[in-house]
Amino acid sequence: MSGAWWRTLRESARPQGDVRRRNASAWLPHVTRMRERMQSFDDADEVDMAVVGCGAGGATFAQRLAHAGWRVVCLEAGPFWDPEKDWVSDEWGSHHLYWNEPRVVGGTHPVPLGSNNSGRGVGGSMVHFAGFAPRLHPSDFRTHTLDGVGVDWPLAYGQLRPFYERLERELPVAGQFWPWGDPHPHPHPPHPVSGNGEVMLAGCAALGIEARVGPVAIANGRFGDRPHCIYRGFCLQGCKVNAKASPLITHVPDAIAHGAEIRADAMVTRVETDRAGRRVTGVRYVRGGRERFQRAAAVAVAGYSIETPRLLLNSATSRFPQGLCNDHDLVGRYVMVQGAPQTAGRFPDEIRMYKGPPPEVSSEAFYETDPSKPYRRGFSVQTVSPLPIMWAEHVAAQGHWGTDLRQRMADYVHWATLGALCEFLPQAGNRVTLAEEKDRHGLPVARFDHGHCANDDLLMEAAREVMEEILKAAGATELMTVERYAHLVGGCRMGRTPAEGVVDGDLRTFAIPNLFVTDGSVLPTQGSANPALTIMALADRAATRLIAQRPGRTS
Amino acid sequence: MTGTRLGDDAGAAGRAPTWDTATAGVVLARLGPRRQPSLRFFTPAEEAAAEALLDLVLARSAEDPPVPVLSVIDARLATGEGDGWRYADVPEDPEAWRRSLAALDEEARLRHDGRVFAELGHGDRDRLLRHVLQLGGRDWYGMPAAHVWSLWTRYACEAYYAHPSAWDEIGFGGPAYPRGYLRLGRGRRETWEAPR
Repeated sequence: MSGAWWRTLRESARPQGDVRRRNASAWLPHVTRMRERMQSFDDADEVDMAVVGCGAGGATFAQRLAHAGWRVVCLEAGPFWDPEKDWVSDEWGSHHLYWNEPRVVGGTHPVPLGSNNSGRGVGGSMVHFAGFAPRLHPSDFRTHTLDGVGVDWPLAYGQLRPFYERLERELPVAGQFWPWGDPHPHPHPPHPVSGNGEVMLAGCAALGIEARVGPVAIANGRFGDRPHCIYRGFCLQGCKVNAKASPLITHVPDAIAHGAEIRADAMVTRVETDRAGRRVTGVRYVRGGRERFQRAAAVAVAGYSIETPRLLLNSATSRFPQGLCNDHDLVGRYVMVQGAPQTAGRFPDEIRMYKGPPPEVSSEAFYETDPSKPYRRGFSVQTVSPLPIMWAEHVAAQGHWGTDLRQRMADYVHWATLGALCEFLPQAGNRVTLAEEKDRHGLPVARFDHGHCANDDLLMEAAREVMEEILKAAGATELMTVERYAHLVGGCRMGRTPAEGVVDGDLRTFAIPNLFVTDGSVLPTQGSANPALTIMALADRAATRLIAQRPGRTS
Repeated sequence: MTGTRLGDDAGAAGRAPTWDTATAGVVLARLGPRRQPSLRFFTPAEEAAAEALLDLVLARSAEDPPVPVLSVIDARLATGEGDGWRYADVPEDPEAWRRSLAALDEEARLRHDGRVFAELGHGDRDRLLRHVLQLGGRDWYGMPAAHVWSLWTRYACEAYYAHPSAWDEIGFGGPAYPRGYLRLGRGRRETWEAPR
C-alpha cells in the first residue's frame, strides 16, 4: 500500500477548520447545556422539515438542514438523554437504552430484537453501538453485476465517498490505515488494545491474515472540547465520557445551535397527506398522552428498519390503502440482519476482555467474493467483548447450564471473543408487517419474519471456521461458538425506479415528492460492515442534495 | 462479604466509592433488602416450581452468596419489563412463564405419580430438564422447547450476573467510571485485581 504512510500523516495533521464550519458540535457546550437554549416551534407553525427519529440518519439529516438555515423539528419517541445522569456503567441498568415496546418475531430463523439492534432516545442505537465505523466497499454497490446476487444500488461508491470522509472527521474515527475496499487513512490514530485485541492480532499474524486496529468512532485524544477515551469498557451501555460518537454529541449540539428543535418523548403515530395523497402535510404524534399534529412542508422518516416500515404501513390512506408509498408492495420487505456468529476461546493466561472498548481489532480479508468458495460475498471478523450477562447468554446458548454454566462463568477472565458479520442477502420474504397485537397507543405492533438462504448458512459456517482458526493460532485450548444476528438494514430500499425501490438515491420517496426516508432502512444490500457510518453518509448526501435544490432561509 | 466493608478486599461493591453516583445508585440497590410483599407475580404453586427450576439452572447451593433471582424475575414480570420482542409461537413473557411452569408441574405429575416439579428429588428434576433441553425446536406443551429454554436461561442469567457478588465469583471488575481501566493486555491486572 504505497502512499499509506503519507496519506495517514496528511490526514492526521490536516486543519480542522472545515469540520468546525460544517458541524461545530465538538466545540460547542455539552449537549445538556445546549438543550437549555433550544428553540421550539409551534405545532401550527409549518416547519420546513419534520424528521421522525433522532438516530444516525435522522440527526445527521436534521443537523445538515438546520445548518443551512432550514427550520427543522426532529421528533424522537424516546427521551433526551443526559449521559451523566441517565447512563450507568452497568449492563442490566442499561435496559432503558433499547426499544422495549412489544414486537413479534417469526419465520424460520426469527431474530431477537430489543437489545443490540434497537435504539431509543436522542442519539438512537448509536448511543449503545460498539463503535466500529467501517465504510462499505465499492463492490457493495453492485453485487448483482459483480456476483449475481443481491441488487445494484442506484448510487456508486464514488458518490458516497466524500460523505464518508466528512463524517469520519466529524465523529471522529480512530484506526490504522485501512487496506481494504477503498483504502483510506483515519483522522485519529489507533487506540491501544486490551487482551482481547492482542489475541486477535496474534492469531491473525500467526496465520498470515491481515488485521487492523480500528476503525472505531471513539476519540483518541482530545477532539474540540470533547475528551478522549478512558478505557472503561462500557461502550455498549452508553459512553458517559462523551469520547464515543453518537449523534447526541456529534450532530445534535450543532443542530440546536442552528435553530433545530429536538422534540423528545414524542411518538409519531402517522404521517398525514393531503386529500389526494400527493403531498405530506405533517405528522401526528403523541406527547404526554396528548395527540398533536405538527405541520411541515416536508417529512423525513428515520425510525430504522422496523419502525419506519411500521409507520408507513400504519399511515395508510384511501390513495395508499396498503400503506404510504407502498404501491409496489416494497414497504417492509428486504429487511436484512448480518449473521453474527460469535466464537470464544479459552486461554491459560488472563485476557480480561471487559477492559477497554469492545471494538478493537477488525479484519476485512474475507469481505469480497472468493471464486474458489461455494458462496458469494463474505464476512468481516472483529473483536467483541461480552460483559457478564451477555457472556452468560453466550455460554447458556451453547446448552451449558447448572454447575457447568457456573464453572464456565467462573473462568470469565480467561476467555477472548471474536464476532463475525456475514453479509446475508436481501430476500423479499424477510419483512416487517403489522401484527394483530396493539401497543399502548392502540397501534398495531410490528412483526418481523426472517429466514436464511443457502448462501447465508455457508457464510456463517465459513466465518466460524476462520474465527476458530484465529483463536487456536493465538493459543486457545477450548472453543465455543454461538449463532447470533447483528444490525438491521433494509425495509424501505432505494432503487432506480418505483418498482425497484421505495426511495431514490436521494432518499426521496417515489410516491410523494416531499416525503423522505433517511435511515438504514434504505440500504438495498448491507456488505459486512457495521452500518452506522453508511447510514450517516447517506443522510448527509441526501441533505446536501436537497439543500442545493432549494437553498434554505438564513434568518 | 459484609454490607459495610469498603476497600479493595471487599469485592466489586467495595469499590463503589470510585463509581459515579448514577451507577452506584443502580448497582447498590441490588444489595439492599427486597421490598415486601416479596412476590407479586408468581402464585405459590408457580413460586415453588420457579424456585426449583432456577436453583437447578443456576446450580445454586447453600454456600452461594445471597443473590436474589426469583424475586428479581417476579418483579420484572409484575411490572411488564419486557425485552422488546417475543417469538411468534410463544406468548408474551409473563404468560410464557406461567405456562412453562405449569408444564413443568404437569410433566412431573405424569412421570412421578402426581408429584409436582418442586416435590421431585434432584436427580428427577435434572432428568426432566435435560428432556426439555433435548427436545430442541420440538413442541413442549404448546411451545417450542428451545424457546422456553431460552426464556428461562435468559431471565436467570440476567438476574444472577447483574449482582456484584456474582461479579466477584467470576473475576469481573465491575463499573470503572470515572477512573477507567489502566492496565490493558494479556496477563495484566489492575492493582486491585486478584490473579485467577
